[in-house]
Amino acid sequence: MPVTSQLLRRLSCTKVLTSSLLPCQHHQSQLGPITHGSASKRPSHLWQNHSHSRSYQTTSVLRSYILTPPQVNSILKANEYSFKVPEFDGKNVSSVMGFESNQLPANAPIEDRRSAATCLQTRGMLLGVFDGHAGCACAQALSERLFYYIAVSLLPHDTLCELEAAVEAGRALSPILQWHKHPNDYFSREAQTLYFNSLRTYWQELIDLTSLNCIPDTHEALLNAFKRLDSDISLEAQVGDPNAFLHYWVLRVAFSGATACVAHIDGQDLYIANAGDARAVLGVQEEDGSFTAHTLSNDHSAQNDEEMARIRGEHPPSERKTVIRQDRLLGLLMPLRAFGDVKFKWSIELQKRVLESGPDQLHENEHTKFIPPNYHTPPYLTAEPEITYHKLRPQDRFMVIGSDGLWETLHRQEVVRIVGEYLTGMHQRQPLKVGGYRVTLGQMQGLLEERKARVSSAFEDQNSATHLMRHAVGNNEFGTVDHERLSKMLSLPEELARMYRDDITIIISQFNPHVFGAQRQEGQS
Amino acid sequence: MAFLGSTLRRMVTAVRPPRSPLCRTPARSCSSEPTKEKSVPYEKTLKQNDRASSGPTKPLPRSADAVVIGGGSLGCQTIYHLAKMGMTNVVLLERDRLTAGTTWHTAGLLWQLRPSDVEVELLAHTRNVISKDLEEETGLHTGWIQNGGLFIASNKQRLDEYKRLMSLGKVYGIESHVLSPAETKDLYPLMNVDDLYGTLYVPKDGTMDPAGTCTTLTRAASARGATVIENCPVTGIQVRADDLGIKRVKAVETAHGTIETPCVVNCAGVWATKLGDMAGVKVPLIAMHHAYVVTERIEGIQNMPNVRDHDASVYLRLQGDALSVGGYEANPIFWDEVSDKFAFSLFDLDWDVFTQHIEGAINRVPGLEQTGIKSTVCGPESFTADHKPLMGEAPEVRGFFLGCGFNSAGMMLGGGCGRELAHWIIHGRPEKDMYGYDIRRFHNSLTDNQRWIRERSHESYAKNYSVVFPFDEPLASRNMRKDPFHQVLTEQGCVFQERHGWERPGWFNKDAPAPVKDYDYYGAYDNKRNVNYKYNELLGKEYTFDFPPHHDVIKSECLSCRHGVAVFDMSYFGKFYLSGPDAKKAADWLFTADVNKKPGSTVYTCMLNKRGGAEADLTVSRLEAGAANLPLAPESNGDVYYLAIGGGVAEHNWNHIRTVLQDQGFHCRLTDHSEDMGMISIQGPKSREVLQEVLDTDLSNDAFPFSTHKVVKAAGHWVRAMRLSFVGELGWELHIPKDSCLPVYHAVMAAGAKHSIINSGYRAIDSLSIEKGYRHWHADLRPDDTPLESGLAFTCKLKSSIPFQGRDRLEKQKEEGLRRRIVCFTIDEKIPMFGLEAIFRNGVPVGHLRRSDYGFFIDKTIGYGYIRSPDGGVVSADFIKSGDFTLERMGETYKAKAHLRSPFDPENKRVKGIYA
Repeated sequence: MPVTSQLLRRLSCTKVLTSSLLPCQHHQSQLGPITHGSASKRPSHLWQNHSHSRSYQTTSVLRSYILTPPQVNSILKANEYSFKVPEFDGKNVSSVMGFESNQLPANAPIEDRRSAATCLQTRGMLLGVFDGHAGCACAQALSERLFYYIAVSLLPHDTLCELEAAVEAGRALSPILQWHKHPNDYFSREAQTLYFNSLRTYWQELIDLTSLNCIPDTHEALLNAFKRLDSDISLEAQVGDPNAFLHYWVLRVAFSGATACVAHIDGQDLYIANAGDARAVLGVQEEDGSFTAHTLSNDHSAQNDEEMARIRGEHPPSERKTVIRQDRLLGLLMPLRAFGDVKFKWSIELQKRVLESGPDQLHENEHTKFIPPNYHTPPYLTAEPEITYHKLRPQDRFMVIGSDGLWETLHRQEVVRIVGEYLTGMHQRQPLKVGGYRVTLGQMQGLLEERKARVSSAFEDQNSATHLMRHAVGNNEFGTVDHERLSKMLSLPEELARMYRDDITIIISQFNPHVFGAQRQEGQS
Repeated sequence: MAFLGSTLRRMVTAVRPPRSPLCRTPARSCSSEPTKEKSVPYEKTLKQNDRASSGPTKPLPRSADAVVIGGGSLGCQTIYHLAKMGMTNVVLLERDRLTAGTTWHTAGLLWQLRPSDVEVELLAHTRNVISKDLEEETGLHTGWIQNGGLFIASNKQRLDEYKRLMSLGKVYGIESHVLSPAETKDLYPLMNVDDLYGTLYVPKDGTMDPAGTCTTLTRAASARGATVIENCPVTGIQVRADDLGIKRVKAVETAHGTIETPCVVNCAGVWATKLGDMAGVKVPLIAMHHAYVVTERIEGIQNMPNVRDHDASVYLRLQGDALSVGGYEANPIFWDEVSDKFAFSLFDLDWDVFTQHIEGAINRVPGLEQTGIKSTVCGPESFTADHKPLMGEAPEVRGFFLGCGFNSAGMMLGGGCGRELAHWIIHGRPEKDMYGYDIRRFHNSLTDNQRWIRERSHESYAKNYSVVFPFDEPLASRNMRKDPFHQVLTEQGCVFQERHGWERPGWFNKDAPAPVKDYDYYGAYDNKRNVNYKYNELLGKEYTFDFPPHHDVIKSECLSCRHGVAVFDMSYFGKFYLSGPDAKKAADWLFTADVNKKPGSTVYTCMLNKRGGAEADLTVSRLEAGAANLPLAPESNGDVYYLAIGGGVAEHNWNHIRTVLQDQGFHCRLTDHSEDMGMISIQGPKSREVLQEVLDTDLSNDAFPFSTHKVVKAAGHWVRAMRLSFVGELGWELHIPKDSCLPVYHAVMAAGAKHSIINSGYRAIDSLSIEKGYRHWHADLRPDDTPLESGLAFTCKLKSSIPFQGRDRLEKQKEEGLRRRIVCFTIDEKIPMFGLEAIFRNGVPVGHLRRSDYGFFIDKTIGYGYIRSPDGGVVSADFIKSGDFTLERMGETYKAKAHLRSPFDPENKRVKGIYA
């Protein structure tokens, strides 16, 4: 398969090997074969593209792209956002003190999305990271829609009835969600009516299904919301829309894909709903002050044996070798659960029918006609989330939700250490040791001054997510930020950036340990 | 830079999680074997090689008169002095080997001159012990090297401070010389003197050896019968309550046996807090990393004096042919997880913290730049809120003594403090005025306040090398105790002083309020520095040995009181009630004056220790027996007294009284209502007119004479009015229940408006009271002064036959004549004095000023000091009258007039309302 292998080499870093439905998506790199870094010490389960990460130093072209620290900062801070939960007079204090988030694109445009909102009709805060592939359309749709599906699923029966009654009577709706958005986190205006109608259909069904005094279970609500939205995405694409633009849009959403990792936090109750390879990790402060990582979600990737077993179990033994090849679903898709991606869900007939009836733009793209190899028993892919529950304790200080772009550059323990030390203000530098080398006082002084000057810019961050990103991109082998490296990574031209790093999205929420302590006391008394 | 780059890479070998001073992190470097780059510069340490195998070095006795815990400098000095003073059934328990913990790695510098007369005396004793006494007793050399000490001044203020030390040194016969930069260069050719203002050279300063000193001390103590046991960690302290319910030390527990003892001495250094916990005793100290670096050989450094460059916060200690470089940084690292296993271990030096000292050291001795680093020494040291040790009997448990928290001066102060501690244990009180080191200088509400301990300890660590200015105030952990007037006075520009946790008014700034803000750690540890900090700005203006810019403000506060009327908020006063069946017996025994005049009287009195020294001065009001009307009166069907005591020493007074009651077995009730009442004092010729409008009682001399009190209504609120004065004027104190404070204050201010009444603070009280000749305890009246020596004979009921504590000593002293006594001096030059200035009679030093201030009414600088006769004989009135006196201030001599009576209102007319 010479063609495939060439394709593999060039696009090894993209999440979907084959197709992009839209012309704007991928630059076919014109670089020659990339020499692998000689001493890649990274664990094998990390992403392949990182074996390239050391090679940039050999290309002289890139040297001219050294950015100054202010330029680096303006790039790193472009998408940073923070939200503090307002304090009340010691009453009803939230368990989430606030969150900070940030994104760094590698794709152009970025395919990651993030959402954060407070549920207004019920209690709790929702935080989510959506990592798109084969375009950003599906991730975009999730960022706008998924939280509404979750919020509606959480509403008690009578609130749903009130909602329906208000819509019926044309009255103003009391808002369900309070969004916390960075100006770059946009909502598409055109699709709002379509989205609303689908959502309304969903809650109408919920009204029929639920009974009067039934309080929805968060676990069930998250599960249903994920599944329902994916099914709506699929249906909307099948039905189409009279408006050509919208018709094209719903197809883009359905034919692209996205993983989702969503946290719902209400008091001590923390639920994670995850589908794909984004990840949520808890920062736990030990008694000695150090931080330990506690993983809250499982990655749905080929490194997850249970997930492999699940997929193999869902298809006949004849497909055992083909259903996962080269650690990818059908040899193509990295995450083993995702929204959209109807190419992995619909029958071949359905795909063909929908594409034929679709707008002309689709036909301009060769890849649309591409059917995954060994495609015998669809669906191969699901958006059903794996749900984990954690009861928050006083030592649980913060949670990091990140797209795989973060986790493949930093080990989760390192992530938690960096954030923990940043949040507790203990970002001191590594101590120096004289370790048997003959150093004069003068040399030592020079050394310390040089180091101080170099490191000081690393502590300009007001935002923990930005701080973590700086480490993710700029860490050297000593675990400290190397400005030169950071500068080079950020000055990579658009067409090369994706070779060296993935889109990175980070949300860090800080917990209020006093709340858990107080609740515990109440519980005891 | 290639070399530096590669060095850096090699040096950053161990990538370890960084530690922070603000967060709890475990010590990560408890390497048991000192590596080459991390070791002390001493040839000999007492570290043992196989610690696990060994048990106690001696069998434990069943019982002892005292058990000293901790074999560091303090423990060894204390047991040595106990034995020397005759208490020989004593035991020292050391968990590891002698010097383990802090002493073994100390730099061991000894400077003789400090800005405190008591400290100068303590240091002199240490020097005597290690340079002379021990060698005479044991024939062993302690390792003392007398290489001299050199203090560096890079500005005028600093040299002024050194000149103050020089003048004080003359009183104690400590040789010192102020040198010009050129003279300094001659003395110390390797020194850069380009940026010097001058230096102070003390030839007989020197360097001590920790291991040598401690082994010699314990050998001398053992020779006198003391028992020193190593490898014996203490696991518990038994405390029992006696018949009266008083907690007392009963025994010390170890894994190898229990020693019955009535007395435990906590010399456990950084572990002292843990040891205190075992007995329920609060030990407010905190451990920090304290470091120095040992250099390779430096040609030409041999025999050079030790250098203390205060302005660069650096010291350079001679180490054979090399130097040790250390200092006090602004961002020290706290050691929160004090490990039990740390005996002879060192921390990794955090070079990023230490870097500030390198610059200072290289600047002073440029050759250091080319000098290699031999090793680093970073060990734990204990630090306290005011950078002074913690000593004395703990308020919580009788028989539990503290000798810890020495702020890296444990070797230097060890001899003097060991002796005082021994005296304290044997005789109940130390010989010198140790109040500055006494645990009772802190209010009990603060000694377990972690924030206060940390913030204050940080500030005093970082400011350790700052010039000691007389009117400096801390910025850390302020506003711990606020009286009911605090807000109102703040709004009126009050610049507060901190005493005993209280905020008390210092003076009133007319431009703008100057509130005290939360502590910013001076910006260390990434704390945001306070900006537009008016209080700090005003404090900066105190940093002078001249008159401060607000001298005139204080003047106007004083003169308003002398000519019109002023109101002083004195709410921080300690306010205690003494009652119970034995109250009268107790009052007779406690107080020097006869307080058993008829109810309604108020008497100024002293309380003495057994040696006749003044432990306190206070006013005692005898109340009518009756039902409770708290907080103005407690319930009593017998004798009941109201005690009003300066708020800065309330804890000390409380404990003194309690201890005397316990020791005498008096059945009394002592209750503290300090926080339930505020107190304002309205003073001045117009005070009667003002208060007559506010109080519903006749204030005439006949109806309300001086030294009496009444419960009256003030603007509709019950208050206790006392006709008293701390400033020598007609005036009343109003002791007011908390909730009535503000209405009464507003009524007084409204009535006083037409007399131009003003708020006034303690800076004015300091001046007014010294002008009148009233004493301030712990300044011109101390536990080492008797009332006879201090001119307070009038407070002593020697003409009656009533016995009181210390009476026998006073009678003896009266019979033998006074060998030292207080004298008032005035000078004509308009310059400030602060105390510690030397007093010369006919050119011979006879003492030093204890307290000095400017008297605005007589328009002169006034100073009080105790003088002795050079021949040790009786100091008679004639000796004073016949002498020509001069005062030496910063090396300058001023002619002084000696007064036998106060130069202001000697007939005492004004307090009686007689303004002729």
